[in-house]
Parts: sequence; C-alpha cells; structure tokens
Amino acid sequence: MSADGVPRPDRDTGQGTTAPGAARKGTAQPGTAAPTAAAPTAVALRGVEVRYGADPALSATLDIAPGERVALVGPSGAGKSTLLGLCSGARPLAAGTVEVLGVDLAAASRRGLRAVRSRIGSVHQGLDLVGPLTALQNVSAGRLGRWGTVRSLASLVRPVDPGPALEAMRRLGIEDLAGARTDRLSGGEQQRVALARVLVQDPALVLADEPIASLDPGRARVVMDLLTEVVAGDARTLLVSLHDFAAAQETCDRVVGLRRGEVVFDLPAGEVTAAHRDALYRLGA
Amino acid sequence: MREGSPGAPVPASATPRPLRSDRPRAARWWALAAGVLVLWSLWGMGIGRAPVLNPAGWPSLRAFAEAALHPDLSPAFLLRTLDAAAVTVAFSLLGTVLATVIGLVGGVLMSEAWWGDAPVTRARRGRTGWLLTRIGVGLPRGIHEAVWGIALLLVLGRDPLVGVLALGIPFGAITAKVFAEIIDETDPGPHDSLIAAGAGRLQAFCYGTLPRIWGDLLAYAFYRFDCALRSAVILGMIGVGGLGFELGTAFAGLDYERMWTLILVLIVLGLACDRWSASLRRPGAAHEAGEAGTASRGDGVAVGRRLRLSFAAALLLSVASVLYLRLDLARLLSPETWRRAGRLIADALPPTLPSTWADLLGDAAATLQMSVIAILVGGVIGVVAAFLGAPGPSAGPLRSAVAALCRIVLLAIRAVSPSVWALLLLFVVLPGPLPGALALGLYNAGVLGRLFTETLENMDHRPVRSLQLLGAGPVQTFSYGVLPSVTGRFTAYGLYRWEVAIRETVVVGVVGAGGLGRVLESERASFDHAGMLTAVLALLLLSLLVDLVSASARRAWR
Repeated sequence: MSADGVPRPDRDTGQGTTAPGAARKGTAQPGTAAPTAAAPTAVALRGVEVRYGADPALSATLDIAPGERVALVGPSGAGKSTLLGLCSGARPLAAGTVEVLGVDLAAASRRGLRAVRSRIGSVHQGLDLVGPLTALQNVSAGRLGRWGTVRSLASLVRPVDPGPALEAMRRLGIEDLAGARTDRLSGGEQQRVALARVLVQDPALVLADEPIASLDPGRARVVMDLLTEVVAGDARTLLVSLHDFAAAQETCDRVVGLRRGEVVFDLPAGEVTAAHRDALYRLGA
Repeated sequence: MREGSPGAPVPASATPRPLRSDRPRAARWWALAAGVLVLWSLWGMGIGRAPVLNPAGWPSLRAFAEAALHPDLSPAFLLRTLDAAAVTVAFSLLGTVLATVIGLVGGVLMSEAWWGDAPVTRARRGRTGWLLTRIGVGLPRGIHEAVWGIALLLVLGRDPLVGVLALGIPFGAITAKVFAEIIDETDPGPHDSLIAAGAGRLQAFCYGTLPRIWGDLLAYAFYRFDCALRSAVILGMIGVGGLGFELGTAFAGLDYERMWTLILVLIVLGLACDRWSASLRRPGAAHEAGEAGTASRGDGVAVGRRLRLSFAAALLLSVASVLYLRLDLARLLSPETWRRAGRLIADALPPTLPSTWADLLGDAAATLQMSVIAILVGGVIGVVAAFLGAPGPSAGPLRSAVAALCRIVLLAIRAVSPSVWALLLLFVVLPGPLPGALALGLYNAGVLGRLFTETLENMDHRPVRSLQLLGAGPVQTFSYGVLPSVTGRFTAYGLYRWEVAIRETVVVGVVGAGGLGRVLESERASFDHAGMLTAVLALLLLSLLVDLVSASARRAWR
C-alpha cells in the first residue's frame, strides 16, 4: 500500500483540497455545463412549489449569496428537508425554478446535473456511508464526481492518490482510522468520516440536513464546530437545517424560519429573537 | 479522545502511517484457500484432460428439443400424469405434515427456552436433555432424503409410506432446528411470567409462546412443502413413484414427448407452489437461508388470513391424500417390516469398503469437487441474474420487463429438480462428475439468484443515493455503493448453499453422475448393504467437514 501520503494537488481540477482559500471562486469546473463565470447567487429558488399529493409542502422564493451561511429553522414538517432536497436536485418540483451554482437543475442534462452535484457537499443525519468500505475509501468517494471510471475502479483495489483524503482526515483528527472498516467505527468517528468526505469533495455549496438532531449537546457542539471547519477559510456556502436556535445563531450569518412550507422570516442572525422562535413553534392556529 | 476539539493542532509534517486494512488477515487466507479449492475442482472435472462432451448425444438432444413442440397430450397419458402429480403432491403434503409434527415436538425440546427456564434444581438434567435432543435431531438432518428413501425402500418395499417417511424424517429434523430458533428468538417475557405464576412448562409454552409464533411456524411449514415438492420428484426417480418415477421411465424409453409433458407439469406445479408459499411469508423473511424469525410485521393482516385459509385447505387435502395413497400405517408395525429392518441392519454391519480406500477417497474427492463447481456455477449465474432481476427504484419499462423475465427464468430453473437437470445434461456431457456438478450448479443458480435478488432489494439504498448526490456516475455508484454492501451477504449465502450442495450430490449421483452418490447407487444395485453404509458414512463425514469449514469461513468473513 502506498505510504507516501504526501498531499498532492488534485490533478482533475488543478486545485488542492489542502490549500483552502485558493482562487476557486468563480472558476468554472471542467465539465460544468452552465455559465458560472460570476454566479451572483449560490442558490436561487424562484417561485418554487412542491406538493405531496394535493397538499402544498413548500412554496418559497429564496436567494443565497456565495459564501453565505444560512440556517433553516422551523418545526418538523415545515419543509426544511424538502428545500434542501430541491437544492441537490433530489426532489421534483411542481412549479418554479431552482438554480444552484448558476445551473438550472430542472433543465440540466444528466451530465450537467452530475457536474453540478460534484460541487455540492451533502451531510445527512444518517451519514449514509458505505459500511463495508474502509474509512479512506469512503472519504475518497468524495472525488467520484470528478474521477473517471477507470480511476474509481482502480482506487477500490489500491488507493489512488490518497493524499487529499488523508489530509482531510488529518484535519478532522481521524487519520489513524484510514484503513478501518467504516461500519466498525463509533458514531462520532463516522460523523468525521462523512465530513472528511465533504472536505475532499471540495464543494462550493454544503447542504446539511439536521446534522445534530439526535445528538447530545456536547456532541452537537463538536459537530457544529466541525461543520464550521469544513466551510471555513474557503468561501463555501452553507445551508443547514436546525432545530437549535442558539446553534443557528452561532454558526450562521442568516436565519430563515419556515412554517407549513412558507418562509415566515428571513433575518440576519443577530436580529432573531425569542418572539420569532415562539411564532415559529406555536402550536395550533 | 477523538471527540476532542476539531481544530486540534496537527503537526503539518506528520506523514500518515502506511494504510493498513483491517480486513482480518484470516480472510485473505480463506480467499486463497477458496481459489485453490476451485482450481482443484476444475481440474477434477476433467476439462481439457479427457473428452467431456458427448457428440453422440447431439442427435438425441435435437430430438428432445423438437419434442418440446409436441408434448404427449393423449388423454391416456394425461390421466397417468395427473395421477403421478397427485401422488407427488400427496407425498409432499403428508411428508410436510409429519415434518411439522416432528418439528414442533423436537423444536420445543431443542429450544433453550424449554430447558433453560426449568427450575434451578433441574438445570443439570435439563442440559443433558437439550444436548441429547440436539444430537438426535442433527443426525437425520445430515442424511439426504434420497438416502432415507433408498433405505426405506429396502425395508418397506414399494409402499407409499416410503415417500412420506423419507420426506418427513429429514425435513422434520430441519424443521425442528428452525422452530427451536424461532422459539428462542421470541421475547420470553410472557412465558416467564406464567412460569413465575406457577404454570407448568407445557402450559407456559402453549399460552405464553405458541400464540405469538404460530404464524411464523405455519409460514415455515408451507415453505417446507415447497421444498418437499421438489424432493418428492427426486424420490420418484429412485423408485418411490409419482412424477419423478414417470420421468425416469420416459427417459429410459427415450420417450421425449412424454418427458416434456411431465417437465411442463413440474414447472407449473413448482411455479404455483413457489408463488403461494411466498405470499404466506412476510416481506424480508429469508427462510431459505435458515434465518427464520427475522420477519417484519408489515402486512400481517392479509398474510394472517391467507395463512388460516391455507391451513384449512392443507388439513382437508391431507385427509384426501391419505385416502388417495391408501396409506396403511399398520405396515409400520407388522412383523414382516421388523424382520426386514433387522436383516438390513445385520447385513450392513459392520460397514465394509466397496472396493479400496483409494477408490473411496477418490469418490469423496469427486463429490467435494462437484459441490464446489456447483456453487461456482450457481453463484456466477445467480449474481448476473440477480442484478438483472432487481432493477432498482428508478427503472424504465424495458429494464423492468427484463427483470420480470429474469425472475420467471429463475423460478423455472428452481422448479425442475437437480436430478432432472442431470438427466437432461447427460444428453450432451459424458457421465462423470461434470454433468452432476453442472446440474447442481443450474439448480443452485435458481436458488442463489432468488436469494441474491432479495438481498439487493432489501439493501439500504441511502449510501447509494448519497454517492449519486455528490456526482458519482452509474458505474461508480455501483462499485462503491452497491457492490461493497452486498458482497458479504452474497458470500454467506454461497457458503450456506455449499453445505446444502454437498448433500445434494447424492441426488445427481443416483442418476449416474459421479461421486459417492454413484457408489451408493451401484452398491444398492448389487445388494451390498455394508458397502452402502460405508458410502453413507463417508457422505455424512464429508458434509460435516464442509459444514465446519463453511461456518468458520463465514465467521472469518464477517
């Protein structure tokens, strides 16, 4: 097995994950189908409507600028996951347009969709790692969107260019676990593997769906710090759904309140008060 | 300690350690051993060393294929086929009833719950009872129903009792084991509270445990019937009667039109039975792998109603079967039967070598090689068929059509028993271990293909979805997401079926393919009962060995 592990620039994109802050903003990734020359918004939802059966699940208009950190708050069923699903092109929409990193997702070709998805990092509560693979393989999978087929297959047998993956794991303090089977790791370690994968993917936009919903306060704190670490330095855009108002205000610049599929408020983090919170969660009415 | 602060300072120059994989070293040795075993088995099949194809058989094969267009549908033969089918179904049904009764009694006695919950003062005696039952049930399970059939034919002659007993005894032992697992996996709370309230063991079982596992037990019994139907055909081929007997007769007389009629009836029966038995199982239960009790309680109500209906129908049909076969239970106790059994045992003891030790070892090796090739062939075909047959959530109409076709082919392959496949393969392949191995391989392709398909359908799709979300293409998603998730399960199923395949070699052996089964058949033809016993013991030892190896390989792989 390769032991050099010296971080090398990622040959596919000409950028290293190891060099945060490198000139990345505004450069179109090879293969990206759409004009990203100077995308004014990271995410633009225009008159979006999603329905489950006859019930409207979400109807929203929202713009997020590159580099912004936005928290989505609101009770269960308010449409937070639906909104995040729209941004990764995982959910169909009934009306409106979703533009992510300058690409209209509904109009994108299959190839174009893959290209834009390779620039979107997703963090789920369920982690969604492949259990029987090693931690290193799971982290390296972050680059599948940019790797060709041959290279991907070769890397399953013997890690190809493990430098960036190892560097990402080191940043999250799990470099010792590179060869361990992922399903044998503890929950906290798996969380770090999932975040390292996002780091290696080097996305322009990070979507996190309730990353701390089932964690105790201590662990939740650690995960939020890690998430901040992942988007730090580089002007990555963060869109995260949360129940925890304090965490939202601490981590993000902007807080968007959702209730019954509609945006109730959209304020800078400092201006959100307890009254907003109560309005969002009040029962009935 | 790894839960510390995220920005923990790391020396920038720290070079990572060599990437060690924590797949246990033992697993690699197992993989190497498996490779050697496969190569040795391929060599043993004689491919490339001696002619294996039988060019003289090609015209017969063509005649056989042409006969498919006009199977014998004359009223006289149809009536005979109907009678044979009824006999086969009756054997299977009564065999299953017997197996269920044995299984229920044996399962309770084998369960740890029965002995373990006994008052502390009796714990010691309980342990012995548990162990004795385990051994008493383990032995008949190791001997294939075809061997039971041969032995019972010698004692009872051509009597319908042979078919029922030959199925009921080994199946009863298997059923007992599965029932014991179901009982032990059930939450002991209600049972224990009855014991604490002063109920006896039997009362506590009947009131506390049985009502909760009744559906699972019944569903397993119907699954056993599905297996019994296939085995009844095999028993027919060794002379017990029914469809298998007619098929063997037609083959001997080169009566291809009649063979086709019989094969079509077999497939229809198998399909109907398979669908019906599947409809009684709750989704997710993998009984075929002996993993009973893992069922989810999904659409329990509909399944429950179907179970009750099937139970009533099975009871009625059982009575009808007894009348149709004109079963005479008194024969079991007649002095004639006892005299014959005594003579058979006296003849067989002590076991003698059929020829030489070298021959016996050679036949044992051929048997082992056949089982390995069978699993190799079955596994490869099964994997391909499973990926074709499980189209995934977002498949187009063409893909879905291919999947449906694939499942039907798998069903048809399973419906035809391995001994019939061996007969058909003997058209084109010279007798020896190869046709036997291929026949077992085809049959196991049907079984493994179905198990693999279920694995693919039940796997967790979220990791795959998340790879798609980060931009991975179809090939990458498959190789990083799907393949690693199912490989372990596939390997475990393959190893489990290997244990079954080594026992099934006897089935293809008796129709002339190689191995210990052929030895058994030739000793039977020459009435050398002591030699037969040796072959049976050798088979038993060999299957015990394979069980051991397979179980430790599965452990190493996990």
